[in-house]
Amino acid sequence: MEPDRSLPARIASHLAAATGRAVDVTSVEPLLGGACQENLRVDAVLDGERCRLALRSDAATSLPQSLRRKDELRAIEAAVRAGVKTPRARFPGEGLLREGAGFYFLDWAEGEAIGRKVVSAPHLAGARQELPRALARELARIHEITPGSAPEVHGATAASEAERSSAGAAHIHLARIRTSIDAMHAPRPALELIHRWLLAHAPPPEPWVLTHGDFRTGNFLVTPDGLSAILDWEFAHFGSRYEDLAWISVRDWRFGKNDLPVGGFSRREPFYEAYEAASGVHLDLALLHYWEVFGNLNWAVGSVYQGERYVHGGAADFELVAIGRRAAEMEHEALRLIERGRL
Amino acid sequence: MQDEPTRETILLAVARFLGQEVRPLVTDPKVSFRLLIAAHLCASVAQECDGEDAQNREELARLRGIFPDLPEATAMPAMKRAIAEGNRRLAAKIREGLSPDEEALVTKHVQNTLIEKLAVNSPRFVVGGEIGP
Repeated sequence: MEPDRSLPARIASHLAAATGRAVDVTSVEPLLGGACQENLRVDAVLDGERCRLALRSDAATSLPQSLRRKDELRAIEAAVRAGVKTPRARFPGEGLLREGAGFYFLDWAEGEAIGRKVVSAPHLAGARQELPRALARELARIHEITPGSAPEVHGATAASEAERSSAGAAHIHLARIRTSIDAMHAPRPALELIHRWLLAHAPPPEPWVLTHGDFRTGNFLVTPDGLSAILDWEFAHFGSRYEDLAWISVRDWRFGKNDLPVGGFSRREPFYEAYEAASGVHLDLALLHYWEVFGNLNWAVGSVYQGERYVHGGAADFELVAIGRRAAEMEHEALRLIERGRL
Repeated sequence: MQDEPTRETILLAVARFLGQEVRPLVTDPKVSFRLLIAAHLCASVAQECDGEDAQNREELARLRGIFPDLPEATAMPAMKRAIAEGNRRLAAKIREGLSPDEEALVTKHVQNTLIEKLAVNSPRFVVGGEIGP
C-alpha cells in the first residue's frame, strides 16, 4: 500500500483539537497483527512532551461479530473502570484513515503479543509461570461487569432482556452460527454434527456478564515482568463467563504447545483455581468442556468465513485462503472433544 | 496431458524457492511470515494434487455407504460432483437427526474425511489419541 503522506498532519490536527495542546506527529508506523482492524503506532510530541499512542481504526472489512470502534471504546471504558489492566482508549473520531471509519487512540503498552513468541520465547519463561494467575485475575474483573452495571456497552439491553426471559447465551450463539453455516457456499457435515451436539447439550442459562470475546494468547501483552495489558476488545459482548474461560484453551490458541492447554503456557488447574479465588465462582468442568467444543466450532465457522471472503467476497489478502483451509483442524478438535466427553 | 515437470513438481519447486531462497533475504517479519504461509500453501497443494484421486475415491466410497444411490463415479469431474451431492445430503440428514447406527457410521465417515484433509493441509496436526491434559 502507498504511504499516506498527509496522515501524520491529519493525526496531529485531530490530537490538537482533542487535547487543546500543540501537537507534532513524528512517526506513524503500521503495527503487526490485528487482522480485522488497522493498527498504527503513533509517536508524537504534545506541548514538548513525547508520547506514544496506538491508533486503532475500523478496517474496510471485518468479521460479522466485530464491534465498530465506537462500541469497542465503550467496552474498554467499562473495563478500565472495573480495574482491568488494559490501555485507556481516548480521542475518538471518524474518517482519519478512510471515510466513515471510526477510530480512537490507545495509551501505549509495552510487551510481546505474538502468540508463538509468548509461548516459547526464553526471555518470557519467568513471566509464563505467573501468567495463568495474572490472566485469571483480569478475567474475573472483566466478568464483574454486567448489563446492569454497564448499560452503555453494546448489547447490554439485549442481554438484560435475555436474562429476564431466561434465555441462555449458548442458544443465542448457536442461532447465530446456524445462520452462518446456512450462508456458506458448500455444506460441511462436520459443522452440522458439532452444532447438533451443542444444541442437544446446551446448558441452562448462566448469569450474563461482559466477556472479552477473544481472550487468548496473542491478545495480551507480556514482558519479562509478567502480564502487561489485555488487548483487542473487538469481540466483547455479554454472554457466559465460560466463553472466555474455554476460548483460551481452544487448540489453535496453544500455538503448538498442546500439552499446555491454557494458551500454550499453563496447565488448567492454576488458571481455574486463580479464577475461582478471584471471582468467588466455582467452575464446572462439564461447562468448560461444552464451551471448548463451542469455541472450536466458532473458530471453524470463522475460518470458513475468512476463506470465503477471498473466494466469494472480493477480499485480496492471500492469508485468508490459508485460514479457510485450516477449518478442518477446529472441526476435528471439536469432534475429538465430543468423543472424549470431557476435557 | 502436460509433459514433465508435473504440476506437483512445479509447486514444490516454488515452495522451496519461496521458503529457502527468498525468505532468508527478507527482513520485514510480517512479509517473512507471509512467505512461510505461501510456501506452505504451495507444498500442500502439491500434496493435494498427488493424492487427490485416491482421497476422493475413499470419500465417495464412504458416502455411498451412507447413500447407496449416489453415482459411482470414478473420474473427475463426475467424482467431485457426486461428493458434493453426498455432502449436501449428509448435512441435511444430520440436521434432521440420525439413528444411533447412523450416528456411528456418519461420525466415523466425517472424522476420516477430516483426517484425510488434515494430512494434506496440516501434516503436523496430531489427529490420534490424547493431545494433552
